[in-house]
Amino acid sequence: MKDNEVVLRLDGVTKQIKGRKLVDGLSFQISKGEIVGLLGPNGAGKTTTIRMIVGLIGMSEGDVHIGGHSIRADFEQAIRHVGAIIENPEFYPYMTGWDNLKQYQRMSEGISEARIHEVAKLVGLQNALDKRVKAYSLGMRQRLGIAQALLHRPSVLILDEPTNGLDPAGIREMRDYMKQIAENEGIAILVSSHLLSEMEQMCSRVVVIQEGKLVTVRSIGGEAKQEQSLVHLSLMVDNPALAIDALKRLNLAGSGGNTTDAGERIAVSLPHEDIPKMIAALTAEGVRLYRVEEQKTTLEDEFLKWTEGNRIA
Amino acid sequence: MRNFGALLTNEWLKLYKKKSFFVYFAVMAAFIGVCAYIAYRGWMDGVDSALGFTEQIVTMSTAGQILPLVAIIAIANVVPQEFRMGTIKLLLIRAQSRSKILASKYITTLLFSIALIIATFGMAMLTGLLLYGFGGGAGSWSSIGENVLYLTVYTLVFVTLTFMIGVLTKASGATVGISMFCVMLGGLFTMLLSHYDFIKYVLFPNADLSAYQSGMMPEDMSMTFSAIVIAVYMIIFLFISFATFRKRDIS
Repeated sequence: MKDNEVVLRLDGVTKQIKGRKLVDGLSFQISKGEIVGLLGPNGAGKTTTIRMIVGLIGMSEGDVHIGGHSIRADFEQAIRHVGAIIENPEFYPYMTGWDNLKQYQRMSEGISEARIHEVAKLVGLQNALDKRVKAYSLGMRQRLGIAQALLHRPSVLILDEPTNGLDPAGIREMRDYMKQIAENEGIAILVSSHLLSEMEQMCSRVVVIQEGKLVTVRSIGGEAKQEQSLVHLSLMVDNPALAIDALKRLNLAGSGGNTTDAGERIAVSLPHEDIPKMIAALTAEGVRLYRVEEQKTTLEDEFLKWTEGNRIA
Repeated sequence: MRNFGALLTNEWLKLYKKKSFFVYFAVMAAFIGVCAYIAYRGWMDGVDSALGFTEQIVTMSTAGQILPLVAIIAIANVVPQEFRMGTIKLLLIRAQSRSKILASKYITTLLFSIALIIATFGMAMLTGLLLYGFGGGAGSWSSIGENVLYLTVYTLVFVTLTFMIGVLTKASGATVGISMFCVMLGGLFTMLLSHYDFIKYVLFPNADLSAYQSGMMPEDMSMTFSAIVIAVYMIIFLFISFATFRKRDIS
């Protein structure tokens, strides 16, 4: 199999309810082994999109292909390639973890009981399978959720807000699972979340939507490389005016273009190699330099820019 | 087919693994216990044998007053609980069509109702044998069979109605409430509106076929007529259930 084989493809997916378009002509695709984040402010249509991909909600227009099969025309063939957790994983609380997994094993063809043990071990639940799910903690339920999603060896894993309600340790563990699964088994993963820092650490690409429309698709690794040409620094100085003059003389205003005054802090962008020269010049000018900090553009800043400052929470 | 068997197993286990599963049978056992006491004291007319006792228990006017209600309470949850617990989201993203999943649920409700009727019959027979021993007295297998048949038809009609309400409302409380209301007011409704002609096309007066046994039905209605009315209603209920469930957005 090729690495760039597309396993999930959305073509102009649209959901219209009472004349209002919740999701409007959304198209993107995901290849094998990729982790893609679906980002957007609340009400942007993330959950609706995910529910349409797995066939829980019907589409007004467009189609979704999973492993080459249309979810609309060929639901059973398409959905067998998908494992999903939609919001919180919910189980039959009066049954044991084993009984719950057994339910899903019976519904898919060709899964042995050995496979149940295998996934239970993968998520670290092998000793809790004979407990009733109502005695499980939220973290254990999340793990059981992953176990049920992986049970039938899907080629696409879809997770809607997978870290909802998890503590920091749980979130980190979840993230590590995801990366491991994508790398080792070549499973494509689509995650929706509004925890931007999470997405940044986990995903190789993000798809940003707002009001049901595609805003941008960004590859996270690639962007970091582009930024390496210029370093964004924030300097804390005693005399900003003097410092700006000194920077101008170094032609930094020209190269950076945005030497601005912000109280006692000034921001400057310059190539990595020029930093020692700039510091020497400032010191020679008699400017007292208290801090030199690198300003990294986080996904959050980018996100706010894309969604024009719309509230995230 | 093996596939569908697996779905049935799943649905049956969802009922069976609950503690309340045995409560429904216990209620029927308690009911038979009370009847046995009444029969033992000689307050039940003309009962002097195991067959006679069983025949009395499985009529519409005895078990028929309680068994359909127990069945309704037991199966009202089958569809709504998936929505309440949120498990519907995991259930419908398997390589199984929605129709098949709903069919497995419906057949499970029928199997449960029939199991409840068979258990009630078995317990009644056993109690009768303990009270009177075998042989002698009134009562015959054929009239027991007839009574069980009427009881089964009546129960399955209301179970199907309950199933549909469960699919439509997605709420178990509302389902139990509306279904019970239908059972209880069905009779009253029939009585109040008996002067009107349209009433014979309504489900309620037709659902209890034992009325033909006691000659309480109007002359222009027949067993065949009622059977057809029942069948038509059942088909409509199922059609509405499946059409709704197949198209519903799960959000």
